[in-house]
Amino acid sequence: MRDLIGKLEVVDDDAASALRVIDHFDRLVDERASIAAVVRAAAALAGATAGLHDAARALVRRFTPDGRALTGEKEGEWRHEPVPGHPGSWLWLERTGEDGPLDALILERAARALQALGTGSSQPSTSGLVRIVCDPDATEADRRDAVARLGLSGTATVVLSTSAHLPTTLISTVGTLVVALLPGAPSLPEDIRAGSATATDPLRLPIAFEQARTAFRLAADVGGLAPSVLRYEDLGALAVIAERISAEEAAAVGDVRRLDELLAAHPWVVETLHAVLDQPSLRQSAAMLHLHHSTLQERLGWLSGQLGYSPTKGRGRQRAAVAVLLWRVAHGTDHEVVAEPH
Amino acid sequence: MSETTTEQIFPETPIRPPFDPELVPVLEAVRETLSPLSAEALPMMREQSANGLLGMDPVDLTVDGAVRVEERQVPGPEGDPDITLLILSPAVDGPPRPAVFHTHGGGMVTGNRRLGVEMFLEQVAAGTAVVVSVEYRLAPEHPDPAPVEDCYAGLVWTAKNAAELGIDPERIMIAGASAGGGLAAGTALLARDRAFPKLSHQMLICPMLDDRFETHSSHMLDDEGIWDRAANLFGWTALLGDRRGGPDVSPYAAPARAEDLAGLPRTYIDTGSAETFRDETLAYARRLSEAGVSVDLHMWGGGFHAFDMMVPHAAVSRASIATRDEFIRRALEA
Repeated sequence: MRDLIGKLEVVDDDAASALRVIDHFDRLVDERASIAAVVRAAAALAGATAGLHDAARALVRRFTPDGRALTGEKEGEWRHEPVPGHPGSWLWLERTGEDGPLDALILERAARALQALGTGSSQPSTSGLVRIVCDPDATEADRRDAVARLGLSGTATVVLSTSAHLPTTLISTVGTLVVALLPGAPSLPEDIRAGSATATDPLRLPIAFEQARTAFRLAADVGGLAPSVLRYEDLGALAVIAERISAEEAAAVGDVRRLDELLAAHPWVVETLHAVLDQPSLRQSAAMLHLHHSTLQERLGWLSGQLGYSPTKGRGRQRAAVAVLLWRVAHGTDHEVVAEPH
Repeated sequence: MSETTTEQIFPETPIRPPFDPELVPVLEAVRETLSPLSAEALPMMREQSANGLLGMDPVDLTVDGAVRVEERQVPGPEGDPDITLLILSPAVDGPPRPAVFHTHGGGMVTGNRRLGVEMFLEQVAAGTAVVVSVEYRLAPEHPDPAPVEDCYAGLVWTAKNAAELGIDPERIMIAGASAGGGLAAGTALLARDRAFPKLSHQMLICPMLDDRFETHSSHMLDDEGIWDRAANLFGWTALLGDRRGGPDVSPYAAPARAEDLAGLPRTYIDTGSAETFRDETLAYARRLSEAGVSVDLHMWGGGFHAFDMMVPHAAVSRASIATRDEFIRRALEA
């Protein structure tokens, strides 16, 4: 009896098939089935993978026709079926080739079922609106509506941080990170780890969100010598490296691997390099590190031997600067565990 | 017994657990296509089940050439006609493999040797098992003991010809769903009592074990769900006639009646919580355990009879299928 439901695809009588689709979703609503059950039913009835994107709840669900959950958000260019009354929420079928005769009906009935199963108010929370505003896949109408509801106009700044101690109530989460929106381009507290980016038009906040993520990846942990709060606008050419090179690629670079090896037994290595690269003289670097400058000389002598190049001069200095930058790219997302949708 | 009315057998309809919400739409759709089981409806139902129940598309048993499909006529019980065995073996020869001896479902009155074998097809295609599925005679034309004795005769032939079939005779699992689960359990009892062959596992999937209608669950479905009490009464009466529910039913026909379950093989047994066979399944699992048999028991909340075969995409079905497939994998690995 497997594939019984799949028989819909080959039933000749179109009117009967349409009725079965309608009945199927109506019964799921009557039974108060789960949202995932509605998406699975769409997939099973259509014989194609079905997905639900709910920007307000930062939720993506994808299921194959046999009910297997797929992870990842690779949605491709499928036609979006909006869920009525749920801004930032839509369904799709991952149909390759020609549309099935019932695809449009299945999507429409599934969307209505989700609308009917929605809990209480279908208006997103502030947190949901923040996510919609930052979601590159949301429709412009939904984004415009969310921007208005949040009271944003003119320049706005996105902050990605590990801390929620920010001067705004427009706060949400993505994975384990806090996303905050601030009107204008305010200065941020220094005792948090954060990346920020500013958009002159709130409708461009999805781009600013990605830029803030780049800045966050390069920001150092709180309590060290390197800045823990970075503005994308200050990064310039440095941003290109974080945007184009993944954490895995950076971690595989020989100079980065060498830093990681040395750090295992010598936790001061990256901080020392930062001070040397940051200050114009060794004396000032030693002061920054609270070290006697002869101690710093000894460390640098040892470090040059270990690295195979001198981080204080000319080409070696450039090499060390890029190695430290890539090291931050490699480790900038260590704490950013993005929850897999279930 | 033929004078007994349904009202006497089923004076009340006790409460049942709700069906899982995700299963309900398909249940309703299936019920619309089903007519109540009756002697008149039987020929049509058998035709429907010829390619799988409810007109399901036939499965490609060769799995694109990975599986060799053959059929053999082998001796039936002494004095009875030959029986047909469907034999599915890996197309690539190899060392002797474990076997799944399969007894199909269909309420004792419908179904054929192809019904349900796809559950084990992946293992054959992967080269890790040989499947033998038996075409037993159906009730009511062939009442008990014809069905279970046909199953046993097929099992004996399979074990005796293990070498030719590429089967490791030490590792034969018997498996079946619904009536096939009851026949698998009955055949396992016969194999134990006749001291041949030795079975390594029995897999009893939502099995039909008890003709007596004494449990709560055997009364709780009245014209709802799948395989309600009336259908079950029809199936058992077809198999046993006037003997149904009386003192003259053998444990090989209704394994719930077996007094001694010691020495039976390692068991996997499952059921839905909202099906007729629930309580006989739970009781059989408990009694097997008390007899010292190692048992894996799974009851799936909200499941009706054969829910995971009818609604494979539902979350509860995914869980049931994954759990069963994992047991099959472990049972067949060396």
